[in-house]
Amino acid sequence: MSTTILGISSFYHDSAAALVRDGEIVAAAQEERFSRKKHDPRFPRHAINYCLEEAFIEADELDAIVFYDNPLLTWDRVVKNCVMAGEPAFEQFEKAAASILGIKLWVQDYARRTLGCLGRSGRVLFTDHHFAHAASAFYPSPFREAAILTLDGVGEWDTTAIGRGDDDGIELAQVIEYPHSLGLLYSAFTYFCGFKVNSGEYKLMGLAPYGRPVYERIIRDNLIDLKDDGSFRLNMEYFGYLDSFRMTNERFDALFGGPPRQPESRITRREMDLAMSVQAVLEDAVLRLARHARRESGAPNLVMAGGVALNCVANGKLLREGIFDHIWIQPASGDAGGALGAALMAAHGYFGSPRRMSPGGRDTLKGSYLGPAYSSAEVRAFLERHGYPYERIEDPDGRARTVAQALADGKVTGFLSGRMEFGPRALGARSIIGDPRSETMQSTMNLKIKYRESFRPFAPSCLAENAAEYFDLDVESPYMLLVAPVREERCIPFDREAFYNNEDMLQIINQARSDLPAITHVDFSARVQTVHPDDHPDYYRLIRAFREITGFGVIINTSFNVRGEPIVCSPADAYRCFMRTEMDLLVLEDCLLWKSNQPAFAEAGDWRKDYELD
Amino acid sequence: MSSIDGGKARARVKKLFFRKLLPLSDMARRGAAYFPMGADPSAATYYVARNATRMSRGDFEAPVCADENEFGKKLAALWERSGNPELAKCAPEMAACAGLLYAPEEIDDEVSPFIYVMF
Ligand SMILES: [Fe+2]
Repeated sequence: MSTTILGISSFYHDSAAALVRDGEIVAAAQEERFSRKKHDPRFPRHAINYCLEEAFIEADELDAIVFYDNPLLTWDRVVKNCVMAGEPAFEQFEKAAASILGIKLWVQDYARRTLGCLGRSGRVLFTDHHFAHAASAFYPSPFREAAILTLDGVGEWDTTAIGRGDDDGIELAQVIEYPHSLGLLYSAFTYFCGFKVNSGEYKLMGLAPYGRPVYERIIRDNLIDLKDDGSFRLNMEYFGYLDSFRMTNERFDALFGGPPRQPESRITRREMDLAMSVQAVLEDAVLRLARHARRESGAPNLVMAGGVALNCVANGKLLREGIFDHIWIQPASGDAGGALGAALMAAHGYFGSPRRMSPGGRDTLKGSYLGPAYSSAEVRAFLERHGYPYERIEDPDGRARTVAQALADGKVTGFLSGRMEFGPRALGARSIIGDPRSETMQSTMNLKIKYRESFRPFAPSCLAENAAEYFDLDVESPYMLLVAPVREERCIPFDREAFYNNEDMLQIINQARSDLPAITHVDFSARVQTVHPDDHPDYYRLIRAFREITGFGVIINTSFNVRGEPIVCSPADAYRCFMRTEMDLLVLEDCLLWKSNQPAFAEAGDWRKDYELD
Repeated sequence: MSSIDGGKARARVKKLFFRKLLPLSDMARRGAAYFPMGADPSAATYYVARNATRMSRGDFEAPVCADENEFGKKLAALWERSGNPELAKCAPEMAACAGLLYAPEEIDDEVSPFIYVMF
C-alpha cells in the first residue's frame, strides 16, 4: 500500500511544506514564494495546497502530517535559558511564550483548520529538529551509507549533531548543545557587521575575501574553545542572545573596538577583517568536526544539512581537504528543508518505506526542482489575457540559440523554466541570467536590476562536463553549494597590498580579476553551479548554445527577484519583476518577451518600499 | 485571542516569570546550572552523547498535545524525568498560560490560495 506524507516547517523563519510518497520526493516549496512575504514564517497553507495538487490528492488521503521540531523540548530550552539569564530575560520570555505556547504548540490545530482534517492518522507527528536535517541530507543523497553532520543555530537543544546513515536508517550519536553553536557564533558576527541575522550570513561570507584574519586569535582566545575533536564551547560572557534581542553585548564591542556597524552604513576594513576572521574559525571547526565524524562513523562519504551547511566557502575547503571520498549537501539546508526532512524521516523511520536510490548513482532530489511549473498553454493564456506581446519559439534548440545570442549581445534576461527550485538558491528555473565575460555586467545587473550595490560577484552556471575548463573542481556542484577557485590561467593578478589598504570596495569590485569578471570573487573564487542535462534540459541547452556562440560555457545566474523580494514563482510574478527592472528579455517557458515591445507598466505605490533588506 | 484575553495572558506570563521562574535563577546561579556558560579546561571533549541515538515510533508521537492539560502533563513528566522537579512544579501554570495565549492565525485575505495556479 502506498504511503503519502506531508512535512511541515513553520513558525520560525521561512516556512515550507514537502510531500513524499513511498519515499519518493514529489513536491516541496517555501511559503514565501506564494505569499510574496520574504522568509514568511506563517503556517505554510499555500505551500501545502501546492504539494497536495502536485500529488493529485486530497488532505484526507495523507497518511501522516509531520512537523519538523519538538515544541516541548524547545520550550524546555527556553525556560531553562530564561531561568539562567534571570530578570533581563523577561522580554525574551514574553515573546517566546507567545510564539511557542501561543502558536507552535498548536500546530495540530493549525493543520486541522487549514486542511480540514489530519489525514488518516488523525494526528500530527513530530520529528526532532536535527533528525529532520539529517534525513533531508541522507535520504536523497547518492550514498548507501554515510557519515552525517548537521550544523545550525539551534533546534530544540542541539546545535550540532554527528551520526551515521545506512540501511538501518539514521543514528545521531553525539551532539553539541545550546547555547554553544557555530550557527549562532556566525550570526553574532553577521549582526555585529550590520547584516540581518538568519539571512545576512551569506553577505558576511561574501565579505570575507576582502579581509584578513586579523581578529582570528582574539576570537579563539576569548569567544570559542575549540577542541581537536571539533567539539566546542562559546564563552557566553560576550554574547547577548541569552537575555536580550541582540546577538552580542558591550564586552563583545570592547573586544572589537566599538559598537556594531549600523545597517546600510559604509562597510569598513574592520567588518572585512571580522568577516574573514570568523570565516577562518568556522572553517577550522567544520574540518575538525568532519574528521571526527569520519573517525566515529567509519563511513567514506559525508552528508550535511543545517544552516551552516550553506557556507559554501567552508564546503569547498572541506571537499578539497579530502577527509571524505564524496560529500553531498542538502540545498534546502535552512529550516525550510526541515519540512522535507520531517517527511522523509517519517517515511523511513515511522512507516518503514524502503529507501529510493538512483540507479545512475546520482541523488534523488531531482535537481531540487520540486516546486510548481507552468505549461506553455498557461503562460500563453496569461500573456494573451493581459495583451502582453510575445514571440513563441517551440523548438527548444532554436529557443536556446535565440536566448544565448541575446545574452552574448549583453542583454539581461529573466528566465522562468520548469519547476521552481526548493531552497534559497535559484538554479536556472527562476533565474536572471547574463554574460559573465563583460566587465560592466556585474555593476549593470546590480544597479539596474537588483537595485543594490554589491560587493559580491554573481554565481556562474556551467555545463557539468566542462566545469574543469573554468574552475578547479572535479565533482558536480548542482546546487551552488561549493566555492571553487577559478583556474589560474584565467585569472588576472593584482596588487594584494594595495587591495588590503583600500577601503573603497566598489573600486576593487569593478577591477577585472579574470576573463570571467562578473563571477570571479576578489580571492579568484566562484560559487559554481554545474548543470546536468537530466536535471534541467532547457537550462543545459541554453548554456551549451552560449558556448557555441561565444566559446564560453558559463553564464551568470542570479535569483529572479529584486533585493528583499522572494524569488518569483508564477509567470505573473516574473512579468512584474521584469517590468519593474531594466531587464531586456523575459523567457516564460517557450514564450519570449522583449522589453522594448511591452506596453507601459503602471503600478500604484512605490514597490521598493514593500521589501526589506537582508 | 481577543485583546482582553491578550491582556490576561500577558499578566499571567509575567506572574509566571517573576513569581515562579525568577526565584529559580538564584539556585541556577549558585551552581545548579542548566547548561555550561563557557569552556571547561578539564573536559576532554564537549560532545554530549545522546541517550537515544535513533528516533523510535513513539518519539514521533510523544510531543502531540491535544489541549493545554495534556501539554501540562507532558511537560511535568519531561521535567521529572530530567531531574528538574522545581520546573515540573511550574508546568500547570505554563499550561494555563498556553491556554490563554492560544492564537489561531488570521487567514490573510490579501493572498489568494490559488496564487500558484494563476487564475
Ligand atoms: Fe535548523
